[in-house]
Amino acid sequence: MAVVRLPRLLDPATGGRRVVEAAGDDIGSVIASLLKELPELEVHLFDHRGDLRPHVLCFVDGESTRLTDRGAAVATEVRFLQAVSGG
Amino acid sequence: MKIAVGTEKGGYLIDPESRLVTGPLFPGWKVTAFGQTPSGDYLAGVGSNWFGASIHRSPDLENWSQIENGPTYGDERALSQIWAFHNVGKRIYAGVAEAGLFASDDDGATWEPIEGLNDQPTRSEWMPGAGGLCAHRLLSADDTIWVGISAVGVFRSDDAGVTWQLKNDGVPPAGQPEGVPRPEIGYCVHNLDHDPSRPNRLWRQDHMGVFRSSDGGDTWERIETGLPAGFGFVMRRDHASERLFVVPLHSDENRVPVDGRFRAYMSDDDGESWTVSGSGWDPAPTFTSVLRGAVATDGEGTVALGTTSGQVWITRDAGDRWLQLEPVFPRIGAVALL
Repeated sequence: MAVVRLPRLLDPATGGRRVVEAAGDDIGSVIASLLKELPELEVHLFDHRGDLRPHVLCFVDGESTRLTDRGAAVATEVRFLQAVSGG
Repeated sequence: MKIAVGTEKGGYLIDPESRLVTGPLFPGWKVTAFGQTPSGDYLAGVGSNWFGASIHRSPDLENWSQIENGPTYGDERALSQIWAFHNVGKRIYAGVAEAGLFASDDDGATWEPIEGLNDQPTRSEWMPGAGGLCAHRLLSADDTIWVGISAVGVFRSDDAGVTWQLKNDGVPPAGQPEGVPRPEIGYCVHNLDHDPSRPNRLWRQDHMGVFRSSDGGDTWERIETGLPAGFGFVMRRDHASERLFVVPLHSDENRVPVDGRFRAYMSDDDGESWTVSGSGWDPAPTFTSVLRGAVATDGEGTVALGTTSGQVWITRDAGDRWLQLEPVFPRIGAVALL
């Protein structure tokens, strides 16, 4: 189980929820749990190739990642942020 | 009726009677298009440079929820912006960037690609204009549909969207030297409108000037008599008064009004000639512009314009008098009368 923290900008997709508990011990399963609960997030976090959007940042347990290894372990927290490059 | 204003940072609603402004809707998001479903719910195209584009719906313009199964190509093409909604009977079309059309036959719940347009034989050669590669304007009459795609051209379907043909004869291609062989695509349509009682009578604000067609787009003729410039992004017809409206800009490379005289121009003779539309315009130099989605009519004499410097201008008497409404918004890309 991990805590997923979401930026305020995503309120229209999440109904204002910025902290979501998502089941899983690795990033792939945590994201799957997150998107099962909030499917509207998928188009906002990931592009048409399934990659993390270019101007979206993801930190897993405090470490920046582009989510290329979906099997990587998650201890406690996944945090999404908008990059300063996006607008 | 509300004036819906889509800006770079949120959407706003103006009551034209009380002047009460509500918003922002979707704070921090670009609001790029408004529409309505056949059942009467409202639609908003919403986008973000960080988080992509999606469609939201509302029963009351206050409570919005994202449509889960929105348009998506499902291939290498990215959906970056919702540009326009257009209803034909029970079907809703969405024009999007990358350029293409999607349709919903279930009141906006799910969307399917219009493959006859999206997979045109020329598709791999389509190129964007400054606003992106976008399907931004639709018109329809019975089974005939027109769509404007920048910078590709006008397509027409005569079989309710199954097959599509390019309709740009008479319009110069954008950014091509004179004398080169006429290309099949590369026509930068900026806006379109038509007369519903004579649907084959079309007017077009193009990158290359102002044009009219009397045969559904098969051929186009230039109509710029009285205009200070041919460039611009607006073309709208108020059907009650039969007036046409454009907002001329100096040129492709200098997209501001000539000498800072920001005005709509109107035509009372199907575009044969143009004059400044009424009164009320700011006498001070005003170097702003109106983008292609930032114009709306109700067909009964109300025309609203939103500028790139965030002002909303409105006429309630088909262009005789214009008024700038308060407040000043962020850069406006979409205006609708809902």
